[in-house]
Amino acid sequence: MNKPQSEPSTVSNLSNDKGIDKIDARILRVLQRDGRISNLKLAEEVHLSPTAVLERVKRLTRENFILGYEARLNPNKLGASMMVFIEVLLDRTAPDIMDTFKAAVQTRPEILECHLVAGGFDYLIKTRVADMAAYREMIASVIWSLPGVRETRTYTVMEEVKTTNALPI
Amino acid sequence: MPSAESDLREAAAAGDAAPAANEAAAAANDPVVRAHARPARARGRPRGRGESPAAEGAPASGGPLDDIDRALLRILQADGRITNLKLAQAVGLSSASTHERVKRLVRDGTILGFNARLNPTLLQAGLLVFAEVRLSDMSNEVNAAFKAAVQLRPEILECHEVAGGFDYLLKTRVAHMGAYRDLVAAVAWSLPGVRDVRTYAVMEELKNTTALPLPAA
Repeated sequence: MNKPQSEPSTVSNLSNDKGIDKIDARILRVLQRDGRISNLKLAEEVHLSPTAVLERVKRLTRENFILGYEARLNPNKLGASMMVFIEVLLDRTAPDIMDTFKAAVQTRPEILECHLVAGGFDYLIKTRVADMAAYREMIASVIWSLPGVRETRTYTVMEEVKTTNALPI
Repeated sequence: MPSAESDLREAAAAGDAAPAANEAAAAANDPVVRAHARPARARGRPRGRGESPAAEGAPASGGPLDDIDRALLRILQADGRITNLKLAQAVGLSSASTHERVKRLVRDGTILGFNARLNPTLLQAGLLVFAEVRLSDMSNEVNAAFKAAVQLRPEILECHEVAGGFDYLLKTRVAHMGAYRDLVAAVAWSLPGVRDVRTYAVMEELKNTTALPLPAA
């Protein structure tokens, strides 16, 4: 993709590829690792002028490759050291039940992720809580209280072998 | 973002500048702080707990967070590149004490780092697939081989050893099912100790955040 960087590219004509060149990929890789790096240091890392790097970061943001920046916090210091996954089976996958379920999981910050999956169960939920008591309270008030929940299976994480949000680039 | 460059410079000054005068003074009085001051600037390392207060009026490091700390963390989880000035305005503190608090939260390991949040659908990682893996034998060799294989693949975002009906839960992001198949072949099927892999492709992400729950202030 030898796309001149001054030319604004659109998402649609790049959809078959990542739509970014090697330098863009390097920039994204660095920013995934250090979201608060100075523009000057970023320029040094990717061997470009600071002006060109700034322009690229702006473009990558404008084109939604970069969605935002976030601080990564330590769950062990914030009463969220226990990670628990829940598999949820519904009685039937009717739209109204699914809407109720979708709304319910948004209400609790302990629920980090909830995915509708294809396979042996309906939803996979990832939660972070302080302890089993907190988990029990959460699952009772958010999940078990919903109509249409047939079964839940709880998987407590004993060891986080790997945890990252960084996408493969 | 017209002020991106100045934001970045300010952020860099906050993160990377030589230790500020009062931090240096605190470190000089307390060997524990000095021992931890340097490693704390690298991301992801374990840190000690026994650091002394970084600034007057702020709670001790490792002690309970106060309401302002929680407000700072909440804002930084949502916008990791907010300027110190805006952050100070949001929590109603001076920029000097805001800066000092953020530095302390980084130093004591409450903030592990800052990262850009990228768009998986534009970066050929739009398909989210979970896999449950069972090993045929939980010997150290088989476990170690599996864990090593997992670390090598960037498509595997998470791997957790769980208590329950299977051994490991993997979270992967790939471009399409063919890429997932290659991944499983490389990580699981090539290892002797893997008994089975159950695949759950995600049809809809109802919720997906990395922000930790922070108790209400």
